[in-house]
Formats: sequence, structure tokens, C-alpha cells
Amino acid sequence: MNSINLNQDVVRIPDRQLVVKAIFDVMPLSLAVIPWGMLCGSLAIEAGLTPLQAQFMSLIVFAGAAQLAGVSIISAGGSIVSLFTTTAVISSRHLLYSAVLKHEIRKLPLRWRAPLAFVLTDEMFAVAHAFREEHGYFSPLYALVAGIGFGVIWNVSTLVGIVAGASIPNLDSLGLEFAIAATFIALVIPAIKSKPVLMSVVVSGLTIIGCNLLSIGNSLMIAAFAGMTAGYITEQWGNES
Amino acid sequence: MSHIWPALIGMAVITFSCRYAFFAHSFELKLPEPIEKALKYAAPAVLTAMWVPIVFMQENRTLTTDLTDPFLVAGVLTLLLALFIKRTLLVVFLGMAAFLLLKLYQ
Repeated sequence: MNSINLNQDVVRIPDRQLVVKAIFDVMPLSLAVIPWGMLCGSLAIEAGLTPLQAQFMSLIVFAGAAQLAGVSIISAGGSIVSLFTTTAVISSRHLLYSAVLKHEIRKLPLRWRAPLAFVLTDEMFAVAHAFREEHGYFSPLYALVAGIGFGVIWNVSTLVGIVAGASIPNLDSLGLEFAIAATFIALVIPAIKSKPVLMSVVVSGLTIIGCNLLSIGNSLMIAAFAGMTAGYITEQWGNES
Repeated sequence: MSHIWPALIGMAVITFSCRYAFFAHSFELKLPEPIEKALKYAAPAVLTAMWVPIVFMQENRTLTTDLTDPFLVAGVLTLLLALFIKRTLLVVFLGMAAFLLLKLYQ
């Protein structure tokens, strides 16, 4: 009897190992974001921001897509209302991440909740969620280190963009965004273990292609909700039969 | 726009609020039961919505029709590798290596 372990608790990884794993796991995504960070920095300067303001933007807004849209609105002389509405629309997907992680993060003290929210980017969400799927528990330390590691690269690349200004080489042609695709594929495919998940992936993929072909705005959230609905409906059908 | 600082701080407040919304203790956002259940599929759905256009589309506008396109070929290869290899970083590494090779010999 003694040899049988009836303890169903998940195996926890020691802190030091967690830190190293978090940095490694977020690395491909951090590399992929370097051209975007540089672009954000140099466009912010072109739009008339001071170097301090440009750096501050990456430091406290810390949202690539929202920053790029924001910089182009500022540079076009758009109103502050359009700036804030656009920021809110682009940031809405973070509401989704917040909702997905709420059960684990809500029970933590403020000194964890606030920093975790601050670094809750697409990239941090992707690796933290994958960690939970793989190890059966959510690790605040892992998520925070991945988020900060990503943030450091984001801010350093913004700084490079600020310093280099308009003279940055055309990094677009390197195709670094493939690293994002490769990482997300490697995270999503092993997670397809049931029919509802498969349906959510297929429907989301087809929806984003459809929306983009028809130039429908905010296609990311439309596709995400279509995929979630497909997963939910498939799950309900499975329960009935 | 002359008020850059207020603009930046406003943007930061918006992005932080979206991220913190469901973590707050001072209020609790309740979601309807179906949405609560559908959240299980949020991660695969939203991540897929990000990688699919990179692999299958040109500039997010048209479907890739060139069957030698490095994004398409390396993307499909990564997809196949991910089916058989369970180690995420190894799949990413092999996928990126394939992509770079295809880029070089394009």
C-alpha cells in the first residue's frame, strides 16, 4: 500500500526552474516582436513624440497593436476621442485573457494581480495558458517572468527604434513574424484533444480568413468569438447525445 | 495633437483596465453561464486567429496561392511537426529553421 501514491496533487516545478523555463518559452515570441518594437519607436519619433514620450509609451501602454494604431492617429492629427476608442477596441482581446485567467489570478494578493495584469500581453497569455494546460496548474511566477522578459525585449527594441529613427533597415523583409506563427501553431495543435477544441480552431481560422478577404474590421475578435461559440455548441451537442 | 502626455496616460489606463478587469477585488464582473463555458475555447480560438493569416494570407488581404511561399510551406510543415512532436520549443525551432532555409533559397 505504501508504494501507491494516492495523492492527486499536481507536481510543482521549483521556482528557479520556472524562471528559466519562462524565459526560454517566451524567447521566440520576444524575438519576433523586435521589428515591431523598433517600428513603434521610430514611428513615434516621426509622429512628433519626444524620445522620452516614445519610450514611456512602450513602458506603460505596453501593447504593440494599440501603440502602432495610436502613433498613426497622433501623427495624422486625429482627436483624442478617436485615439481612446481605437485603443479600447484593440485592447478588448485583453478582456478575454483577463476572463480566462480570472479563477487563478483573482485569488492572489494585489502585489501579484497588478503586475500580472500589467504584463498580460498576447505573448504572456499564450505561454502562461500553455503552461497551465501542460502542467495542470497556473504559476503566477512563470507568467510574471514570461511577461517581464517579453517586456524587456519590447522596450529595448523600442529604444533601438528611437535611436535609429527613420534609418532602421527594412526588418519586415526578414519575416520575423513567422516566429509568432510557429509558436502559436506549436502551442495550439497539441491542445486539440477534443472535438469542441478542434471545431473552435477550424471555425476561428476560417472566420479570420473570411473577414480579412472581405476587409471586415476587428476581425480578430470576431474570429475569436466565432471559434469560442463553435467550441461551446459542439460541447453542448456532445453532452446531449 | 498637443497633449501627448495625457494621451499616453489615457491609453495606458485603457490597456491596463482591460487586462485587470477580471482580477479586481473591489468589483466582480459576472459572465453569463454559456460565455463562462465558451471561455475554455478562447485560447485556441484567439491564437489561431493570429497564426492563420500569417501562414495562409498575403498582407492579411488575399489567400496565398504561390505554393513555394516560405510562410505557407514552413507553416504547414510546423503544423505537421506539431502533430507528432510534443516539445513546443523543438517544434518552433524546426519550423523557424525550415522557414529561414526556404527564405535563403527562394
